Amino acid sequence: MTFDWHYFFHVFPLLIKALPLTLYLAVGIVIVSLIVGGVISYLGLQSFRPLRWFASIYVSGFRAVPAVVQIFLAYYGLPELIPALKTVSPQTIIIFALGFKYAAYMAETFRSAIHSVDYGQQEAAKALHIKQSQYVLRVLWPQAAVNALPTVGNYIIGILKETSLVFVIGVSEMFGEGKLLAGASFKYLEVYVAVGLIYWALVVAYSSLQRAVEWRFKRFEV
Amino acid sequence: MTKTIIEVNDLSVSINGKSILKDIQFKAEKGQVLTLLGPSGAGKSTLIRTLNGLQDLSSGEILFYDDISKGHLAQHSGMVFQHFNLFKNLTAIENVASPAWLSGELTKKEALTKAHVLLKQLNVDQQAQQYPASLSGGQKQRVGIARALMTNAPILLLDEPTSALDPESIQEVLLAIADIIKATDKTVILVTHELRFAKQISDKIIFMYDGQIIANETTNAFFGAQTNQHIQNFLQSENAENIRYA
Repeated sequence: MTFDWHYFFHVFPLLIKALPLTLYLAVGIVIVSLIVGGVISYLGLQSFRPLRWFASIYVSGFRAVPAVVQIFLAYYGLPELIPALKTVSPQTIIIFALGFKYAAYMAETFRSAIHSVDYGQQEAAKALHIKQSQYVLRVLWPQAAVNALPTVGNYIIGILKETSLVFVIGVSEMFGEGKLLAGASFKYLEVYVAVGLIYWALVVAYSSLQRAVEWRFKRFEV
Repeated sequence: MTKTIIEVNDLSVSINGKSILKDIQFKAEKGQVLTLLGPSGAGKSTLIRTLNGLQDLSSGEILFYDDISKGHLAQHSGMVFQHFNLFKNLTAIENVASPAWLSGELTKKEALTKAHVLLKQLNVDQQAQQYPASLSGGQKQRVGIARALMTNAPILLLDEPTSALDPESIQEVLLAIADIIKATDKTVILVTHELRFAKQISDKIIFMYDGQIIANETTNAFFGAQTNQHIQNFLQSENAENIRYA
């Protein structure tokens, strides 16, 4: 068996055409997961027990169920309960299905990041008559963000790769496009190596961006 | 005529069912320097934290006599912590400005201007733009003192301000505290193990043992002939410790 270099290079532009959809899905999932994750972690930190229970059940449930099951549940299952969902595009379903799933991971990350901020910081704020809202905004969150950043970055990389799961409900993003090309040409090795390399390049580019952001945020941790 | 500014009556604190402070009573006068001494675990830090509202009291009362108010002294005091507790993500000058800026008392610009004056007073103005992580222990504590002074409160609470410092920094911070005490008319409540310093700057000494006050007297009386065995033991052991580090 020979590796068809010509086809290998030929397939790149075809795959890259589907890249905007991959990025669109990834950005959408990240946004939903950060917002919902922030809300869930906030609920998890409240003293009112039912809110904490809700957050705990949410995290436990969404972390336990596999991503494909959640996608199928959202795409095929939920419209039976809520018929209006039948008109929603599969891309939107994916964004919310995986966004809600990753929100559970983000919530746990935010919660532990907030807990890892030295308690002395809060004591100082209290002893020096600093408003609680200002303490949260100017001290707690910036320090928690630095603590959370590496883990959030890893989840964002995971999200980028998991967008490839959308082919299971017929959405042709980059991996789906590759699957079609491989099926038509029978050049599976060339196509999937190309797909893998594009994902790799994306992750390398994102990792560089993340390092720059971490460095900027960590300027106070000499 | 001296004026009582703080009055503590029958103060008790229990943590997780364990009695930490028992029937604490004392008064402090305006401008007075009051030092809490005692062996580790005697309850000195718990007392200063209770005065500041960082620890709930189980019974008793704390009175502040400017606008007769019961409760803790948080609104009337600035606090210096043993482990500095500077805000890690703020520069030295932002830390000092924070009590006025983040309480809405002054705008950030006004607070920074005032903070610069305090940093200069404590000889750390050269480090104004540095983050706490890049400051030495002594510099951190001087920034901590400047931050406590920023509150403009009439009471200054210092919880073992030198216990986390190396021997060279201890002297630097003690000098800074002595200068501040001379320059202001604040009532100071200090927890320390620096006996020589306590003797130099204190008007009164409160000696605590096992959560109780067992001596509350003038500095001269305290360091004079002591008959109490706990105090004698403490002074002997602390003197030995101080000689070792001198």
